[in-house]
Amino acid sequence: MTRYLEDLRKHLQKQKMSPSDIDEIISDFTGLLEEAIEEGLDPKDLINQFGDPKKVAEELKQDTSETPLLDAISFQDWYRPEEGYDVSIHLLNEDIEVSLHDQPTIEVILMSAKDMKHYDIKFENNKLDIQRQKNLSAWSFIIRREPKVRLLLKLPSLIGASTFFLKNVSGDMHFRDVDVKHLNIQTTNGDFDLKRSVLDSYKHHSVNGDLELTDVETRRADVSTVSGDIQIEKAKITGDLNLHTVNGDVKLEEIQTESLDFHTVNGDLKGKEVYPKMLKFASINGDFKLKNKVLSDIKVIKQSTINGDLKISH
Amino acid sequence: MNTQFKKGIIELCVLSILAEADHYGYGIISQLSQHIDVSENAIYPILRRLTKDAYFTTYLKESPEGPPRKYYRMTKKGFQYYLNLRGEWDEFIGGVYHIIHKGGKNIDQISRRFTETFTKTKNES
Repeated sequence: MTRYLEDLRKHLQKQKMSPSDIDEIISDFTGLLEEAIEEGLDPKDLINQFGDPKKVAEELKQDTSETPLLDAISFQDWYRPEEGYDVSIHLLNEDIEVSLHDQPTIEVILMSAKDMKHYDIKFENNKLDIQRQKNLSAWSFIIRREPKVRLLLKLPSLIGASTFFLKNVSGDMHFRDVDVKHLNIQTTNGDFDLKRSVLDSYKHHSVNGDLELTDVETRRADVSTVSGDIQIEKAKITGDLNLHTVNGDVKLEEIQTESLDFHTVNGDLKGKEVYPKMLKFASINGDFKLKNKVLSDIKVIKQSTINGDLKISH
Repeated sequence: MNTQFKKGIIELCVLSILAEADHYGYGIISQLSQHIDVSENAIYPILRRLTKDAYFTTYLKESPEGPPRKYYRMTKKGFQYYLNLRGEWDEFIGGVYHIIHKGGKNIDQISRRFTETFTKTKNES
């Protein structure tokens, strides 16, 4: 055991690792080897279980000297859309930021992308299409430690979009001030937030990703998550607000809506200053609690729950 | 097997083990080494890197046998990373199996088929 540690120290020094790194690694290894021997590992088998000290040192050096790519622009282009253009984005783990600018163009910037071969970006027939090629994604499994790729999208403030479809597996998504008629988001793990936006319809489906809406006006909103949490603050919905979750909780504040439908298994809904005209609630264990200052006429159209409570207080 | 490739697989295995429960360092190594030859790809450097990337945190816990042990615990960030990697892996390995199973589900079947076609073409020429 001492021999292994001595060898390891020697090779770490050869790799010119910093003294503090060396001390930390040696102390970790001392613990590991002690655990192994306590569990009855034959000291002869140390190399089999922990690797050759020389190779371990090389590997440790490699991992510390790898500096991630700087936040460099990998792609930048501008397109001229007409009123009612469409956007369709299909990505994997990129972070996405969408905002407005005062130009009559759509600006697309991709940051820190290692290889633009993986991306297909085009604007045709008044439609912006951004895709990550799927078959290549499997190999990113092997090329690890890629820096986080960011997609920045700036939309023209005076030209409205008709449909905006975004599918992303795990990257986070931030939308600001967007002027889009129909917004449709699909994600597995990505968190999503939308601020200060006027829409006609909004559809969102996520598995684990959380979502947060602030200052939003729309005719209708259909949101479903499995375990993602939903938070909506200051929203005006002229039609229906439909919220479906399995375990996700919902937090609402200052909401006006024609109808509010909350459908859940275990998720709870907590609302403050929420004024729906009609209300539907179905749950197994989830609760529904509203706390309003002003007494308003809320018609409960449907209520079915096994263990959950429905409570509206003033 | 290509070392870079194997390294990726071992990383996925380490993440899988810690997604399930917290473990001390040697616990992880011995679990893995029961199934995979780890002498070529050391596990500690992977543990250290993933901890540095904030995918794991560590804490000390008393051990009945000796000095306290350093335990590894997966963070929320680590779990998301694991899900991504796992998704990519499933997609990749699914594609691979789809291709290689076409020729037969196991070595016996593949060998039998190969011998059959081989003798057939040999007789024809």
